[in-house]
Amino acid sequence: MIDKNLIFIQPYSKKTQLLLERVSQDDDFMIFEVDALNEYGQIIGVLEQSITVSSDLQKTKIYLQESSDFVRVKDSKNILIQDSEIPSFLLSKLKSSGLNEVILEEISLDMLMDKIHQYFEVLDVTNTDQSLLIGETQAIAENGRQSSGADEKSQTSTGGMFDFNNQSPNKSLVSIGKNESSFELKLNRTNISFIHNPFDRLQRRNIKVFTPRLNELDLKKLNFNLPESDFTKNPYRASLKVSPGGFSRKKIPNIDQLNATGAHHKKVDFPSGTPKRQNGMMLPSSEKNNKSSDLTREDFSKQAQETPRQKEVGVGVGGDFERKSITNTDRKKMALQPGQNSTKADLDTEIKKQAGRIKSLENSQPDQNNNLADLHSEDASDLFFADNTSEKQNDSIDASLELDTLNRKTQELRMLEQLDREETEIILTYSRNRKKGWETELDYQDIYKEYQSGRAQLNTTLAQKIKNRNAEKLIEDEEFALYDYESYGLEYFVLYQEILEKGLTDYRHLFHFCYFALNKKFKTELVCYSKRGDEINLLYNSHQEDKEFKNLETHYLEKCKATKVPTWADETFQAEKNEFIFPYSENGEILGFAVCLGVQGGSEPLVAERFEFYLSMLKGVYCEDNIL
Amino acid sequence: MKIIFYSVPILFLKEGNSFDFPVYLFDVVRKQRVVFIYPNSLVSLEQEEEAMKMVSKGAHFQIHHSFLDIFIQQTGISVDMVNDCNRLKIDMIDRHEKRLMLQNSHKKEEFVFQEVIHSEDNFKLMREQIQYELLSYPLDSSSELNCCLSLVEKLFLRESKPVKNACISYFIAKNFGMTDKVMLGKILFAGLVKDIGFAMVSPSILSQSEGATRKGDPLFLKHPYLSLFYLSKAGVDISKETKRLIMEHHELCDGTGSPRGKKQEFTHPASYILNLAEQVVNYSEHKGCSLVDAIRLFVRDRSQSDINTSISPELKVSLENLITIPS
Repeated sequence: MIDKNLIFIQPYSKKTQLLLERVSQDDDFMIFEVDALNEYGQIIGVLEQSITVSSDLQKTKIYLQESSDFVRVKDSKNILIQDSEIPSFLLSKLKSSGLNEVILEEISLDMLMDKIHQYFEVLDVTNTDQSLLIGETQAIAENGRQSSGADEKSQTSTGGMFDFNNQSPNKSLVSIGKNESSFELKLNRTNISFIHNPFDRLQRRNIKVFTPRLNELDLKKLNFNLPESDFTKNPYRASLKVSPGGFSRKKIPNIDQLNATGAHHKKVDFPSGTPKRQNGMMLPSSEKNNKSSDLTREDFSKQAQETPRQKEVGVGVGGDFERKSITNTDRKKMALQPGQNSTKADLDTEIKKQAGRIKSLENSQPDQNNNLADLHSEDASDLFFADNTSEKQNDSIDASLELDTLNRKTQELRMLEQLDREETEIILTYSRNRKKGWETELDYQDIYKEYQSGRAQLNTTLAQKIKNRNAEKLIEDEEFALYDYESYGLEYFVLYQEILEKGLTDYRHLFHFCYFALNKKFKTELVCYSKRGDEINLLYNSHQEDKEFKNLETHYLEKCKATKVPTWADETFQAEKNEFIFPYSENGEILGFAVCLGVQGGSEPLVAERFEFYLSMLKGVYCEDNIL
Repeated sequence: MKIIFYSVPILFLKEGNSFDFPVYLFDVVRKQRVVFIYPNSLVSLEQEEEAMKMVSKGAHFQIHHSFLDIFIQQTGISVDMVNDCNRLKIDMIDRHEKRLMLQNSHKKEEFVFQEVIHSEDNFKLMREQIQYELLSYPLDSSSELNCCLSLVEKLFLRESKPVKNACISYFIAKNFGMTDKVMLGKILFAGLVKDIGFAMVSPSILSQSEGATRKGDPLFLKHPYLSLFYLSKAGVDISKETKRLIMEHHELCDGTGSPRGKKQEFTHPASYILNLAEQVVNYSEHKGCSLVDAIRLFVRDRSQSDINTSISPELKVSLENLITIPS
């Protein structure tokens, strides 16, 4: 008997409430009432077979999506009870999510109960079938074992499968006996009814059929079309036409054309291409003004090309920089086109004229409003958007246009004033360096030199930046390596070698040479002893005539007897006169001692190493058998 | 040779000061330099304290040579104080300049080794020529070369066996086509110190004539090891090539050399030059013949009890040019 689990998801409709009351009277059913969908997720994963009843469409959608892995299991049925039919597209969606059935409220309670009972009966039957099948397989296995003729002894042997000593020669036969394994067959939930089912072909097909569920996003992707119409609107693609109705881009008139008097100018166009209206209405112009201030867009573009750009030095900007130090006269020439003689004074007068015109226009605004009505017609738009060749443009001028020209001219005036300053400025023009590519490092040292020499002048922050960069760049300058001009005492060894090569018989010369080297370097006295067994004999004493030393001779002898390794009297090297005892040993046997006396104060550990180095010169002498 | 970064005292690094020059911090151990104070930036109290800490740890504060005048102007520190901080560098530059001046003042006549080797005062001329040529050697290439130059200054005043060995090996290497000053310096240095390991050998063994007893003594055969031991104790920073030359200066082509019995393909070619030089000098001193006669034995490939001509064949081929005077 299987568990009959029913899960009711709140809120309940009338039919669901009735069903709940009916089912609660039956003890066979296990009822779960779920309010939050989190709880549902916890329950559904645990239950083996269940029916979920829901009345809320939204909640159904959510729980089907969230618990999709569990919901789609065959033993889990999902029912939605609704007042009316739901749209087909929604139904298909829910079915693909795992919804089994949508039941209307009109259905009778008995029919609903029958459905539930029927579902659980089918499940019960399939489970019993499975258990029977498992039993059959067990019987088949036992029959097979009996027919193979395996001995009971071998089966009941203590070693079992892993007893290699008692294994049968036919290794293919593996005996499984009761004594060896404690394996118990458990009920397998896998539906293997198709194995001996006459409809197994259909079952296999069902298992094999895979219906992928398309995501909503995928559907959108399939219906996705490139917005080609948007591409045509891109104004930056040269291949595309950019021509709004009646509008044509015109070049900005040149500054000198603005300044020129008596020249025939066409209508004034805005550099941005957008019309400007005062109070939403076009203002008329006078013929006089037209002649002086009507300009074409072409003139403006020329102005933009020819005026020098002044940029600050930037960091990491690519390309080579052409630095020009331009004088005032050059600037004026650049500002002014050949053939025109406009100066600062001319600009001032023009600005005043323009300002006066604007004032007059503003004052006469109410009268002009009547005339503006005429301008609202299409002709008005033609004034600003039509070609230069139209005759109407010549007569039209706008006060706002006058303002723009005025602003422009004040800017030019300021430029000229700036140019009149004595300082020169660096003008950096960017040019792409084709050899190196886009990125090129600035030579800060070069820039800094120009800055130092006064040829260039930058603002304070930029100058500081360049100084800092230059300081960092200077680190890369390589300096020569510093070495000591020192022989490290090797010359004494070379000379000592020379003495050895000559074949001296008196070894006291060798001791004397060693004392000579030590005294020259460290101003110390040397005493050498030999040791043969317990007997210590004096070999060499650099201050033999010193009476003090004779008194201390026994003192040093006792010290040497106790010494087995090189030792300093003052290990901290703070004493004014230090002493050093250096034993000579061979194969673990001490052959003698060298004692350095009166070592000048301030000896450091590094100097102590030098002492050992010099004294090791006498090693060969101590190895001599007949040293005495 | 020029001082790029001047070490300076940190007296001027006080809180609130700002200067028109950058101040660098040089780590002596890592040999790295960083900008400690940027130009026109105020010195903070933390920076001042950090500077004291760095100096106590052995770091140097430096300024670039292009800012030296501005530094003296703005800080008030005297030139003498700056020179005291850079004494070692200044001494090195002075020594180098003096050497060059000395070389320029003593313009030597053309030195032809083939003519000199036939003369009676051959070693004296060779010593003088080497001392003259070494005056132009750089002092900032390596500590090994500096040690060699100082050794030559002290040892080449008198003729000793190691000096003779070094002289002949130097000129053989030069005639063999070697022009690299650093390599020639290594050969010279190796020629001088290759046998200092004899100090560990009993004098009685060394005083014996060239015989089986001397050659059979294990300590004698291992004297290259002992020489390297002494060099390591001396504290000189010796290159691997020099160590190799010293170790292999008794190796022979047929593998019968000492101490390791290496064959030609595993032996440094310059070590055969040292071997040849030592054998030539020993033979000429022992037999009382000239250097040219000793070299001729190698040219004719005549091995004797005192000479083993099993050296590099390329060297043997060029030996004839060493003793034939060019027309």
